[in-house]
Amino acid sequence: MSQASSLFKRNVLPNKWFQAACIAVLVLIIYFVTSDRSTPYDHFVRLSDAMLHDRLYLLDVPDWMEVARVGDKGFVMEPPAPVVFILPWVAIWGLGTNQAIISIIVGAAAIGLLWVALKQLGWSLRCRMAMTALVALGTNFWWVSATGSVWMFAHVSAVFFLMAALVETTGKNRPWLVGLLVGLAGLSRLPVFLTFPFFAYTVCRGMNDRGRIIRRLMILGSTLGVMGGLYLLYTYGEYGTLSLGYEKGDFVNGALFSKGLFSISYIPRQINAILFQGPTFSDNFPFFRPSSMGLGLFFTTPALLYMFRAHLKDKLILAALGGSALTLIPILTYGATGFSQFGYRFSLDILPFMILLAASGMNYRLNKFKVAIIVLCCCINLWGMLTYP
Amino acid sequence: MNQAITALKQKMISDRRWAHFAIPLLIVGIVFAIYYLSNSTPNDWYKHYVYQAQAFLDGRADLQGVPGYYQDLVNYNGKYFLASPPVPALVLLPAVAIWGTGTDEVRICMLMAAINVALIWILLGRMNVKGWKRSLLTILFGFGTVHWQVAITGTTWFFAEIVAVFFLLLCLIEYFGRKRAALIGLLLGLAALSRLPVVVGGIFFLAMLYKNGGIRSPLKFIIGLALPLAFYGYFNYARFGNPFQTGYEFHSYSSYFAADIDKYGMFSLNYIPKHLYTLLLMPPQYLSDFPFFKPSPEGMSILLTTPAVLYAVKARLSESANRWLLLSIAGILLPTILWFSTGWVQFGYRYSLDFMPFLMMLIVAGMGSRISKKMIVLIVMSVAVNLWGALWSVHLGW
Repeated sequence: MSQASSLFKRNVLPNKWFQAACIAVLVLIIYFVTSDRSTPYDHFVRLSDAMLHDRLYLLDVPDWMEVARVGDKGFVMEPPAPVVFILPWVAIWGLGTNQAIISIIVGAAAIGLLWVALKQLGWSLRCRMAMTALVALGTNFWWVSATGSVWMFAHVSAVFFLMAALVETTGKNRPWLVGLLVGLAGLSRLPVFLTFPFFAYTVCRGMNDRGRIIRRLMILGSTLGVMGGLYLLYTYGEYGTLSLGYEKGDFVNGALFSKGLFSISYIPRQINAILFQGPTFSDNFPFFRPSSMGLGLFFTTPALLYMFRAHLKDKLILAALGGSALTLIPILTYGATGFSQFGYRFSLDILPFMILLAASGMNYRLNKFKVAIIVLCCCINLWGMLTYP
Repeated sequence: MNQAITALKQKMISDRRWAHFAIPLLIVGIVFAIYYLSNSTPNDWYKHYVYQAQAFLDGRADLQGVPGYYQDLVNYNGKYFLASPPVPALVLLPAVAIWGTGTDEVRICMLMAAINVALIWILLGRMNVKGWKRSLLTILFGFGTVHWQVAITGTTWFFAEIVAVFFLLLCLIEYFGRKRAALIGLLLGLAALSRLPVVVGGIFFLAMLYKNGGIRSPLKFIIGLALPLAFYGYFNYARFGNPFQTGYEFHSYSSYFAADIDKYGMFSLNYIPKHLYTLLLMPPQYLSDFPFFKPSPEGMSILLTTPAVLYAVKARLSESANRWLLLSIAGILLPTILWFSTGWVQFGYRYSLDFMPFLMMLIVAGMGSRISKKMIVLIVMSVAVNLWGALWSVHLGW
């Protein structure tokens, strides 16, 4: 018995995948307990069912459901990668599959992957624990995972694949697999395709052989190209034209999109949503309630202010900044700010990079103040979970 | 002629005492000019203190000839009184003696505020802050805090803030100078008779005077403080027959606050969240057209209006002076956050001026001895935000 115990301590306990699984289970329990575990916006369940019936469109779509309507067909405008997680369950349970619960599971798994990636990056145990806790419970990833509606599940899926890409690029670093995972993240949330500068750096990190670097970059680029091409093919299959999908929705005719889907004139409203969108005040306890318009990034996760102290002489951090900056271009110029939401959900498209930047800003070290800030972030997000209208 | 100029220059260089007067005077001139230009055509539509000063000059306590639209008056036994304490009116006495009720309170407010900036320069000097850091902190106070917008608005409630800061700064200058406890108490009393919550700042002086001089100094401080407070009691007695009756409970507040006051009264724990929200979190208002953001009339977070206050967080609390400063700030804030009004209409959180001199000292402590790029960036940001606020405030007719 004691031999088995020491074997467990020596071989199993230090195993990063075992640790990741334990963390994922813990996060899963927290997400599960704090979630409503249901969503009426289960587009991906319906899409999975359609795909299992050789269709790319939904039938008998309720009026309140946001889809692109062409005749009696309803097309899901969000990219299709999240279906990967749902399709097997729909094959078993059909339309009764609970998208919200799958969102919770995938969200928790993404946190496990983050743990592995941070370990592979060589961060200290305390730093890894703090940053994992920050992402899991101190960002709106908690609320987004626990909500699990079509828009939120797309984020969860994108974060999962980004974390998986981070694990691969900090581990075996096979460019085709990194490209595939980033591509799947992009096929969950289109702006995430633009995180590629970060991965272009990481797949060649520490290499001097120019030919090898070019070869690896070409593999990464072509994999991403194929994934992008697949998306265009998918939308061609849907609408018969090459399209992003979003421009087919009725909402683009609304006031928010008066200057089209993207315009630089939308930047101030995004800046307002990122920096200044505060909670609403209430006369009753707990006096502040999250606005369904969102909550500023630094109101939701004040620890991210450490990003401004990141060490840009570190090329990995510079690459994270580059990937984030490029990804932010379509986000900042998009007409909508993410209503309805807790926090600023579009920020999740660059979540792993924000964590790299914040950890760098903290010098990868913790003190009482930093721990207090992270605890504050967790409290704010717990408040969001409990009070979101 | 040239010889005379050279001799004068040499004399000025050798005798640096001229700088003690010349630089503060220069600061007053420059700051007043900028404040004046920031709001060259002020509204001057609420100047209760001018009418109070006129009442003093006429040997009355009640206000007469006040425009009909004035709020915040106390109607008691058929007469109108001012609930706010009277020191700002006493400050205006010479001007009102000359110009009567035509006195331009806003311009005088700007002038006093410019003097405040010179006083912070003197205070920093006495705190041994030197060189560029002293200049930067003076700029921060004058143009990187809500002091700027409050100075150029100058109506009743804003003038009271500026006068309170004036006396509080004098108080601190004396503390960092000859430390005459009775005089410090007297000056704090005068600050408190401009803005009542400031009296709680006495915590700092009591503690530090006790630490430096035993029990005698705090006693002298209390005696000094008692003089203006006794005057206030007498003033209240003369008006309402009760030295402890300030008049606030009778005063005609704006209908904007009616629902809250009916529900919770003038002081309530229920007001704390909205004060803390205004002080710490409140963002600007978003506009769909250029310039896209405008200040909320409810106020704005101090972290946005003066991001340089973040340095106060870095002040070492292992030093007792910093602990007492922090306690004084919290103490001054306590009665304020129980009050029904958060300061509407305002840019930023104007009540923060009640403790701004103390906060400036914490910022000094948190900044360390060297000037860093971050420090300059935060100060520039603070000034930029307050320039934006001052311009909006004038544009919106606050």
